[in-house]
Amino acid sequence: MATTQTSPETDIASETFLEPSWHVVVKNDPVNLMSYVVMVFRKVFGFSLEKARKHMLEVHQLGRSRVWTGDREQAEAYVQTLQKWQLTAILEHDH
Amino acid sequence: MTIRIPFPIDPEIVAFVRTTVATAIATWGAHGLAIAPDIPLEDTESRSLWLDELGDDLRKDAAQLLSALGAQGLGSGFLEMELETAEAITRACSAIRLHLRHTALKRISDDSLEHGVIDPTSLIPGEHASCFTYIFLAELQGILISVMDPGSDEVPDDL
Repeated sequence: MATTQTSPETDIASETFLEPSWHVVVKNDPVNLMSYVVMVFRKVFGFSLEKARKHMLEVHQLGRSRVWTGDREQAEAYVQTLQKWQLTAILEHDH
Repeated sequence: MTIRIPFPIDPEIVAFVRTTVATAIATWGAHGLAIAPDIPLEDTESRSLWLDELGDDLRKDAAQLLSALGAQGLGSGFLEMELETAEAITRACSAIRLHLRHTALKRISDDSLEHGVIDPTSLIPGEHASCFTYIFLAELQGILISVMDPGSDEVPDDL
């Protein structure tokens, strides 16, 4: 299985010092179960159950959730991994 | 890690679902994908490679699902598989459900599908098998998730 994990520390460091501007965004769909989305977030990003639920609820209630921010190459890899899990994932960039 | 879950169900029902799943897979689009993804790349070669990788992985996942729906799988009354296989099956369940939603079940509202509330009498010929399969795969997926990642399934899916 193609999974990639990152630690919360890595997220904080990259956001603080590298000023990354590529965002992995997951959009809502009417098909995937909420429990499935939570499981995928936990497997792909190594999120805690609480954090995975928070992002899942954002997807469900707001229609989208920014689940990761960092450099473009890693962001692309995450988008493709999420698409392999059949989630609607896109890459966005701050202009 | 091996997963073994009792799954007593009429083998004829499993065979029925397997037929619908196989038919759906046979009608997947270019690159063997259930739905078209958003690819964040510009050049044609990179986009094609991206799609090929998704298609290759999905074909493997779909093969695992078809195997699980075979006589040695759910037809035996048990689900017994390695964790990686269970993950592949959950992905394939999503792919099939997404495909059915965008094809055979496109007439049905998002709200009805999201809440699993579908009036059987409102279905037209051709939708029954897809609808049953759609719901069956959600149940299968839910059972696997409850074993693979306990806690994830505590989220109410009818929120």
